[in-house]
Amino acid sequence: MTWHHFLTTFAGAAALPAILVIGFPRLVKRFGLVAGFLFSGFIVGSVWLANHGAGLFYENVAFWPELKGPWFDMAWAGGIGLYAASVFQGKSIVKGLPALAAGIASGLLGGLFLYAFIQ
Amino acid sequence: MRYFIGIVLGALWSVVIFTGWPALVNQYGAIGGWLGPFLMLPMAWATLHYWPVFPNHKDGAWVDLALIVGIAATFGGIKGGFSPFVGTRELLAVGGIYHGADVTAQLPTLAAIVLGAVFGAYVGVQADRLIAAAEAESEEKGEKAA
Repeated sequence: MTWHHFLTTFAGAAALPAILVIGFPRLVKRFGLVAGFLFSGFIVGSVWLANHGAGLFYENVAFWPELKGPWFDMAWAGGIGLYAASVFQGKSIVKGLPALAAGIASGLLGGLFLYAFIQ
Repeated sequence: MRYFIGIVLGALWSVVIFTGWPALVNQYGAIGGWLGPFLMLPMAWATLHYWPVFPNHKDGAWVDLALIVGIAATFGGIKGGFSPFVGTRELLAVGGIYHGADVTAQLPTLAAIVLGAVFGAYVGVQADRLIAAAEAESEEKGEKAA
């Protein structure tokens, strides 16, 4: 990984939470469920096109059955970014700890299902 | 009970997202990848967050669906394969940590993602404040005009 890769990954990772934080709650507040349905597709789909479609994210992986690094999806950027954004907006980390534990447990369990599928 | 349901539902959605989305990418390329979230994310977001099944505290830091599926993909891998009923395209899959993938090979990427995400979140929050201030100002002016 050169610094170019680092920079593109950084930029791609920054784009997703920035757009989500500005646009998504505002649109859902104004238009409700329909906006959530539409813009979860538009925002994430369009940023996906840049991050994984065009390849802003540097992924040091090998295709199955070879193994190299694990896949770090741009979902990491979204999840960490929205977590950080809520902290910046004054939400409590301590009160959010049970949810964080549940989220990690949920991810590990989902990973187990995916692990069973990829053989 | 709410934690159990939230954990299981998040896990199920992460399986659906990281098998269905790569399958679309495998079949249709970039346009499939763009279409993926339109098919996967709306119901996932609605069933976990819009109808608050996932146990987020109302004053606690926000744990999003994205964090769950990101962890699931890293640990379990992603697979855009096809069943024999659909076709015989080449398998598109990446193994995860459970398969024995080497995390250290991807640590720089993880670092870039974390730094970028926090930076992006900061930019988003600041922009959000600017917009909120502008909206409050225009509302005041509107009241005066009325």
